[in-house]
Amino acid sequence: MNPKIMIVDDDQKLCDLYRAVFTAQGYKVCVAQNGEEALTKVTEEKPDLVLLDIMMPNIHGLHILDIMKATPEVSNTKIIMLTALSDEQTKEKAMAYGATDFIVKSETTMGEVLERVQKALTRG
Amino acid sequence: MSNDKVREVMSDGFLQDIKKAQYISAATAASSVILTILVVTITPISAEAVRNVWLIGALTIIFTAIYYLVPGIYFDKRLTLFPDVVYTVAIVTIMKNLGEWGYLYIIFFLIIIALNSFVYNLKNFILSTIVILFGVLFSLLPIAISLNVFFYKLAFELYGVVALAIVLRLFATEALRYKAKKDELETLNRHLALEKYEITNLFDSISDIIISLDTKGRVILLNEKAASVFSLDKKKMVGKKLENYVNLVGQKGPFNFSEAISCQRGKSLFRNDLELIGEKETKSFFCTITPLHDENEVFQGSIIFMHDATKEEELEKKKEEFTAIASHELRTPLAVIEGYLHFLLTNNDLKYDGETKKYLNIIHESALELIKLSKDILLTTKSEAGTLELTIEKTDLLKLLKEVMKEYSSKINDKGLKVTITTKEKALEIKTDKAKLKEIVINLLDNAIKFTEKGSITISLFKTGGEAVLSIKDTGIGIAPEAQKLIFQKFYRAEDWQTRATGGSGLGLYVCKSLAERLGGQINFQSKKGEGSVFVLSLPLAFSKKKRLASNKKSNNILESLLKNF
Repeated sequence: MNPKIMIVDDDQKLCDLYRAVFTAQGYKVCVAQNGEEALTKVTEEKPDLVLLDIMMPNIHGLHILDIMKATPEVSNTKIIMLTALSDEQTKEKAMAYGATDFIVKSETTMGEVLERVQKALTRG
Repeated sequence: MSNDKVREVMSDGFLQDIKKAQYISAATAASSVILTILVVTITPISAEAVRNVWLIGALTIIFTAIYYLVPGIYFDKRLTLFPDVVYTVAIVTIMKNLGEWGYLYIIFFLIIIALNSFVYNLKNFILSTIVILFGVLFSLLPIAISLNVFFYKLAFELYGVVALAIVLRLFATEALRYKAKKDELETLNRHLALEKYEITNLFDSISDIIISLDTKGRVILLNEKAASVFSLDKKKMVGKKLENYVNLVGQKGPFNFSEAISCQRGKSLFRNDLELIGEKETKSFFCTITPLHDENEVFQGSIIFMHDATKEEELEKKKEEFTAIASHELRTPLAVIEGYLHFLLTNNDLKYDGETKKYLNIIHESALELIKLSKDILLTTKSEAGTLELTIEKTDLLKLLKEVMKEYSSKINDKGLKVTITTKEKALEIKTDKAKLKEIVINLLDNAIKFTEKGSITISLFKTGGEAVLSIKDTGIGIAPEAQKLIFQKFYRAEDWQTRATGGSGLGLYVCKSLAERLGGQINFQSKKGEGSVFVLSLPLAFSKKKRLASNKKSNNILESLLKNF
């Protein structure tokens, strides 16, 4: 069965892009455009991997990460954090909270994103 | 004017001497007048003689007054003997008019000679003593050998006149010497006052803080800027210690003005973290304390120089923010463009004709280049501002190298290059910042591929001492000798870059070098034009904030031998 990926980002363009790319690669894709939506959808959809943006209105990405990791049904789901600006402190925090990887959107090419998603999914 | 001269002239001893001389002159003049009055009133001499004495006395006083009031005459060297003559003639005339009583005058002046010369100096004292001894001898001589009384009188009077002339000469010389010294002192004082005025003006016109402290850390001088920034009174602060009035804080620890005392010779103390927290705003300062020592290495005090860097810091911060935001705003749409291009190129459902596919590939490559460029710009800005943060983690250099190779596999294949990795290690684990290391490796490999049209790239990886060494050798175009010094400079590109289809911003090697240094390592290279280049990256096995490879001799030797063998 093809892995399911959930994309959480408030930027419509990026959501569309990721949806198109991942779908083309054969993944199942679902999208949430804010934190609340992400938290309800994640238990319904039970994705294999979540691409989670850090800078979102209302709920901070790290907070969502923390909640997801504390929710038993999805605590094993791989979560890759997405961020606009590289910031080592945030990265360290995210990794400590249990994120699988940390991608700086603007510095990473689509090829790399795909590679890292694949790697996260194959890693146990 | 030399410092020694100033010290000599300004000595307290000299000032006291002048005062003493003035007292003595005044006392001599006063006692002479009193004695004249006494002698004239109490001695039974003729009315005509009395009138003569008064007349001569009055003339002498008028002469003295004129002479004193017109310094031009007084200090004309050609006229130095003039008052001597006048006074001697006056005294002799008074003496003659007083008859027998005139001897009292001579005795009085002999006593004065002795006293004065004693006060002035030893040489004068000896001279006067000889003069007096001769006087006594002359007085006793006639009694001893029962000489003619007339001859005795004549000799004694003559002697008196000569003695007076000598002492007046002595006084005149002394007076001239003192006057000359006093003049010099006054000129010096004027010079000093002028210099002080100029220096004070100069100090006050400088927009940085300048404070001069003595050996105990007390204020000698502070300029207008210091007074206004610290709200101090310039004059009242002299002789006081600053720490009781100014409170500066620093991120690198507390700052105390008394640190100025403990500065070593030739070693200035520099702080760029100082802040003055005020009610309205906080000011940042760069502070340099320079110790002053004389030629005998004796500590003389120190100069504190402080530059108000508030605006610069703000500007620097704004510049950095601007670059970060600008490049971010630039990169987000760029990421979308690149993403869709990637999608279009990798989606197997989509079919293109050959031309379209070729153009899409070109657009995609350009987008990738732009992403790399904006990343490099941000890295450069951060590393220059010193705000580049590191995440130190265990990283397998070999694995990382293979990852990068994979990313570049299509480029390598396109050019038909042969790339080999030679290493004994199965894994080379080091503690460093993985992302930054990857950036270095990417840049080095990218360059090797870019500048090699045909042939091979040989990568070798090994561990030596406490460091990991990665060398990338190519058979490319090489670097011209004149360009070799410049390649690590920002925005440097080979001179013929315009005619070459290599592209690039000229930031790559600059970024490599600054990143390698930030990670405690270094990059060296060797190259021959037309034959190829080898770049050698060496990094410590475990990153530590203090240790730097640049200071490691052994590592340099290894690198040298490695480069020689090339």
